[in-house]
Amino acid sequence: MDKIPATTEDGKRPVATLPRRSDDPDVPPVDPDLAIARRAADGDMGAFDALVSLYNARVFAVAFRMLGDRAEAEDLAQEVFVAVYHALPEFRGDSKLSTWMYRITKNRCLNRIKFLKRRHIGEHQDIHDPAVASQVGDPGQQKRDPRRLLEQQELSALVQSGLQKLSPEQRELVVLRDLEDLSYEEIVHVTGLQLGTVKSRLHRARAHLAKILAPVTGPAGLEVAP
Amino acid sequence: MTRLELIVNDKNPSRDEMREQLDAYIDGFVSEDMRAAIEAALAQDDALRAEYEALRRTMSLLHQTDRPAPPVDMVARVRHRLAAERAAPMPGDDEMDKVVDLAERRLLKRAVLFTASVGIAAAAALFVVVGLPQMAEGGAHGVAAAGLSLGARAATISVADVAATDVEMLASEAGLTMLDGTLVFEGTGAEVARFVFKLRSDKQAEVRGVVPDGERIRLTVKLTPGAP
Repeated sequence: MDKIPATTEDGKRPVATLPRRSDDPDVPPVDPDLAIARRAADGDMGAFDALVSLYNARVFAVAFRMLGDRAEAEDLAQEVFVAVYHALPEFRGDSKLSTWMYRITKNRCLNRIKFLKRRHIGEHQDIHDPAVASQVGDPGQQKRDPRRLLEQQELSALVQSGLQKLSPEQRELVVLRDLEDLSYEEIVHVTGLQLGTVKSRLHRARAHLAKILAPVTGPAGLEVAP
Repeated sequence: MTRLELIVNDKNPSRDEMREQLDAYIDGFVSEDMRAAIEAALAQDDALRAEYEALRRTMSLLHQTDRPAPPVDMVARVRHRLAAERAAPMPGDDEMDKVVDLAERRLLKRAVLFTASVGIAAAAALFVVVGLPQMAEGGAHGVAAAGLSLGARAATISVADVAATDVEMLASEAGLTMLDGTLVFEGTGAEVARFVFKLRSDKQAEVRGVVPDGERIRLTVKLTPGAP
């Protein structure tokens, strides 16, 4: 296993503070992701690679859904993993690793959205633009049924278009709950909001999205499985 | 991890309370009482049922949507980025002025942007004070790259378009805690320059190698109420 070259002046990574394994049956088992994170924090680059692979889909999905642009999302996902690499030694394991990753991703997304907004970038995406629909897919998906792939691309483009009309704060809740399937409890940890705020804000976001998507999800619109 | 309790308040909910809970009902995240009340109301109230159906279809649509396919080479990309970060070459003396000039031009450009944004900047102004306890003469380049005056032993810059949340996020990722709106970051010139540029939503690569890496610099970041 190759080791990470030093990033500090003295050539050493800071000592990791993640929890260690325990043989005590009364101690809950260590989250396997945490074990990988601990190894990565100790300088095991193979473990860090595994962590990136493990969270690649989740981090990228949140970034793409939040930013609405594939290139920006790819760049942001890389930025998140670099930030994670530097922050791992300080990660204490007080929350789930996934929650921590989602929190970093969410923070970076909101930051990037502000940055892009100041520069008026990405404000006029059109779901009927084939370029937008094609951003959802990936050449790696070509082995799938082409018809199903097309349906999914259209579906994703519709959803993406609706999401972009929500405020970033509403969007993050819909992404975390309805697309990433996080529990309310996890969302509270990711966002730092109170449970009541999560519920009411999520309700407003969903109601808003229902109105936006009504032409396609309404009784005469898109067929949606129950 | 603390388990969250459901909010239970639902013996006789009003219609508005039920409307607010419709999506949580679809999620299965309501109390038994609320569930029973909503089901009874849905059987009688056409408008409420229409609202419920719209929410159900929307949430169903979201649940059917696949995750976008991530780049398959993310590991390699991240490795490449980390390697670039570590291997940022120190320019030779003859190249230094060129790099500093470039950095200064960018800073000037940003300064104009900052000035333009001050009038509409809402939340906070950020003052960054950098002290250079052992600054050698050659360290002046580094100071310039970090956005400070050449030759100064300490200087103050104002970064008006940085939001408080950005500072808190970076502080958290760096393992620092803000006390009374102030945090202290201590590190080499390169580390401090990276931190400053992160605060400015900029790319780290632009300053890498410009600041002499041997200097220890203490950076005090203070958030103060911004101008209207």
